[in-house]
Amino acid sequence: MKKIVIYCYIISLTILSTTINAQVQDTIVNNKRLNNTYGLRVGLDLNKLVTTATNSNYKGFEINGDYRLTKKWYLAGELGAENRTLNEDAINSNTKGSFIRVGADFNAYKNLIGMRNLIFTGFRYGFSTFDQRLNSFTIIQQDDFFKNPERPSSFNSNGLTSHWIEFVSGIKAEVLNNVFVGFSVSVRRTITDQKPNGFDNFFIPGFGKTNDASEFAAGFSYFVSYYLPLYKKRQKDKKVKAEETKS
Amino acid sequence: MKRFFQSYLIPISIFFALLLSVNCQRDDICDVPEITPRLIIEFIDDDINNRDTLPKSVNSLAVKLVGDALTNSTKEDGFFTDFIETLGEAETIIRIAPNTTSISLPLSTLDDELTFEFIENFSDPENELTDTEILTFKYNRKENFINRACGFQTTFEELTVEKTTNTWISRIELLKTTITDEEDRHLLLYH
Repeated sequence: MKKIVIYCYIISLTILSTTINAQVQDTIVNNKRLNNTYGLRVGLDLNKLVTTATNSNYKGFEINGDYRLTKKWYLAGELGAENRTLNEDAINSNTKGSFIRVGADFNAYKNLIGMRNLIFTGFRYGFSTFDQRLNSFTIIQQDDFFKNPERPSSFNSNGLTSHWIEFVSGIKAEVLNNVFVGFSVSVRRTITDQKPNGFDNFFIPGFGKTNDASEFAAGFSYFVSYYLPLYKKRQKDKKVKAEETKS
Repeated sequence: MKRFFQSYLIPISIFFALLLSVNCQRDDICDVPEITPRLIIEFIDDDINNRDTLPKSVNSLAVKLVGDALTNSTKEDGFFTDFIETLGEAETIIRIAPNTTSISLPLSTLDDELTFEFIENFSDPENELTDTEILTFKYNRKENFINRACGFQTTFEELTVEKTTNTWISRIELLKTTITDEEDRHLLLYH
């Protein structure tokens, strides 16, 4: 928890400082003056990378991308894989699987001339396929008289699936030519959830930790992405258009 | 100043929304009634003239475990140590009650067979009224998932009770062979 908050502060400060910086760079301005380049942006989630390196109970990665459709709409998605071991008081379980999320983002930010930043909101449809394994569990007893050790378990379910829908919001800021950094926060809600035989899903890749009390989960991502420009949409100057209609 | 707020109000709002959303993680607490049930035993008056099953309390009852079922041998000093002289090792005493009509007896979640000594009047100084009855319980264990916070519970099936001695308990009546909760009595001991 503390780690996430510290990363939030660092990324926020980075973005604030780089947007101020971008306003001063005039050389790149002409190319992006009309902000009409259309292309594909591909990114790598750093949060999952850092967690993989620091947490021995976790291995995972996520690749995100977006493709510009119109001036403000982007087709967006993420895919990845996660392997997570949950070691709680009464349960020790492992989940591994892959996920994909597909949706669209809307850029609500009115860029200054020469900038291509995004402050976006969007939605995703998420799908994951995974295996759930229960390693050991404890039996809850009222009396302390009889020995009650942790029990090894062979509860195992493969090929489970889960569908969810999410609402996402975030920032993508261009810090170098075609290089973006950003972060996003999302709220997810389960649609269907295939449960394993004999116990429950404790973690779903791409979705997060499940909760007995609610169908919701929150997600957080910070990433670096690279933009590949593909084509330019010809935007007729407003003045030229007016002259044409006149004549 | 206005430009500053216009540019950065949205990122800052998103930042705080992020903090709030990440904070909303409820910690699971185990708060359910379905834990591993104990055997509810009631002591009944065995009077031929009395048609109703009326509870009859037992004078200074002690229940001791006999045999090699796995127990936690660390017993806190001072609780049962007063009875060591009359009853023997404190670690095997599972229940003591001065004057009771019903007890709850925990069953082992590791073993499938338990033998207990039910001792009446154990505190009698001359040991004249002290009587010991031996009962053997056999059952099958079933592990059921409760939730992530509590883990699992054990329920007991195909329970059988055997009385090998014949002292102060005249007969036994097993009301339930599948023990899943502590709502009703499971076993009646007539004396």
